[in-house]
Amino acid sequence: MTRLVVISGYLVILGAMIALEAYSRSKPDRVAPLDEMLTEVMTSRIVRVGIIAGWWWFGWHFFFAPTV
Amino acid sequence: MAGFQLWRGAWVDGVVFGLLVAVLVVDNQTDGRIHLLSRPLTAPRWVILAITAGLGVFLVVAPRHSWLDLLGMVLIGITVLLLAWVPDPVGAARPPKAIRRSLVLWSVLGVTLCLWEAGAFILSTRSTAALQEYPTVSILLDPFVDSPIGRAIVVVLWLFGGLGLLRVWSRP
Repeated sequence: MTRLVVISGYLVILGAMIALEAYSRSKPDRVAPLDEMLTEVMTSRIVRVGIIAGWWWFGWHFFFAPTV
Repeated sequence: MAGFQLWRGAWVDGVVFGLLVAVLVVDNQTDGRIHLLSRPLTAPRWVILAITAGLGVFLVVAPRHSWLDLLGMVLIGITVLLLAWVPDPVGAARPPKAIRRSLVLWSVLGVTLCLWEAGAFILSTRSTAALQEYPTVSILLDPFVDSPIGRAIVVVLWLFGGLGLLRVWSRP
């Protein structure tokens, strides 16, 4: 039962992300789509390197590092 | 992030993030004086695509958690750091309010996901049974990434995600 609740939480968050992106695609001048928002915030080196590091870590974690 | 990685026992992850934060702080405090390259790295699209395809095959074929994977990930890490360090001068053309709303909403969802995942991880450390009762994303995705097809799908999505974030297609 607990496992189902935890997995449901992930799915709700994923669903909210998909819904947000769909909404922003239909009303881009109200809420900017994800790629445009990232283009803007990634003009800062700290944000850009931080986001790229997060992306790299995902690969590191799943392809090399053992699951802790 | 670095602190959380150290706390959960992922020493290498914690040290990597800690070093990166230290370099970014120094760079920020010295008005961006750290230069990793004399000029931006650029390449024709077919070269980028060929390198990406080669990396993809390498990561799918190399045994998971092997030293080959380690080598591949270190090389990718160094390359993307060099690419990411170079300024990306052009911003988006949307109204600032739309960008701010998007930033706030995505941040809320991202932080919520991190907190949910961290909560599951903390609760899962209590016992072996708790590991299955409070699964993290890693625990849920692990069997999928272990299968050859699943691994190929994750590698392709991950590499294309990286290409998109690095904006290598739109660089002159």
